[in-house]
Amino acid sequence: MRGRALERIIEKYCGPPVRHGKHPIYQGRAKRFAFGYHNNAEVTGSQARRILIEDVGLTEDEARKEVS
Amino acid sequence: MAAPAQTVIYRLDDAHRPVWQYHSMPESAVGGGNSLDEAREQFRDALRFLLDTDELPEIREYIEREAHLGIWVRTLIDDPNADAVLQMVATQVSRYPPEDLDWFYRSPTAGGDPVVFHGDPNDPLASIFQQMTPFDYLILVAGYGDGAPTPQKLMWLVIAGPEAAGAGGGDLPVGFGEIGLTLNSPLSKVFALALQHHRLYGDLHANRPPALLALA
Repeated sequence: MRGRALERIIEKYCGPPVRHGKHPIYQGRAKRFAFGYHNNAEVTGSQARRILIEDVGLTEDEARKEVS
Repeated sequence: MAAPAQTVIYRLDDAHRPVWQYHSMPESAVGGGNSLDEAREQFRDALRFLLDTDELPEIREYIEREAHLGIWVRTLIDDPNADAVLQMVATQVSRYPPEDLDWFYRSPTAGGDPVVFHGDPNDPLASIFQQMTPFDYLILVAGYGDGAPTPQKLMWLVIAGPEAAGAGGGDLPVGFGEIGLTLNSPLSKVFALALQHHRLYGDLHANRPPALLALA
């Protein structure tokens, strides 16, 4: 998954970054996190899953629907 | 107040660009670099931004490499035995039949794939929790035998985070306190007590003790 595509999903649930910069900071349901991927970076499936579940706070089902 | 020590894990995945992708805890930063040095610098940049300071706390760094069919091995970034550990796990795991590999796949990290860690027997149990989020399983491995450099047998032990999906992967999780462990217990004691518990209550199949539930 491209970095920009994942960031769009993040923004859908988290809104815009709470701090802009090279590593924009988002506020997930449970915690904040810094997202350091460029638009065209290829985020591994493992990393995307971890971000959506652990940082954004989606359920496994929600995460699966977003990336399918 | 100074920020707590941070743990960062860099994973080498040649199938993606950047090839080194990281995630950290307890402050969460994700990203990557095309070399390990670049990923390390990217992480430090992100951490400065997250903490809003140039004074970085202690950082514990690990790397992950794939051992066999989606089973990964984590080692300390400066572990001189990292290649040997990777080879040891890869050799052993590749000899297991598919049904035994399923045992590994049932205990994934939050990323969805199993990760094996070979810790120093003298390290405290707390050193394991420091590299886990509540959503992670982590599979510990230890060798035992007659004291020769190459262990006769490997023991595996699953540590489950409290939010890990289906904690225990079908086995009955056991609280650490229930078998007399604390965060200060050395890993050698963790394995010894888990094995003792396994002998008492477990189904002695292969060399796999039952999963334990992390309560931290």
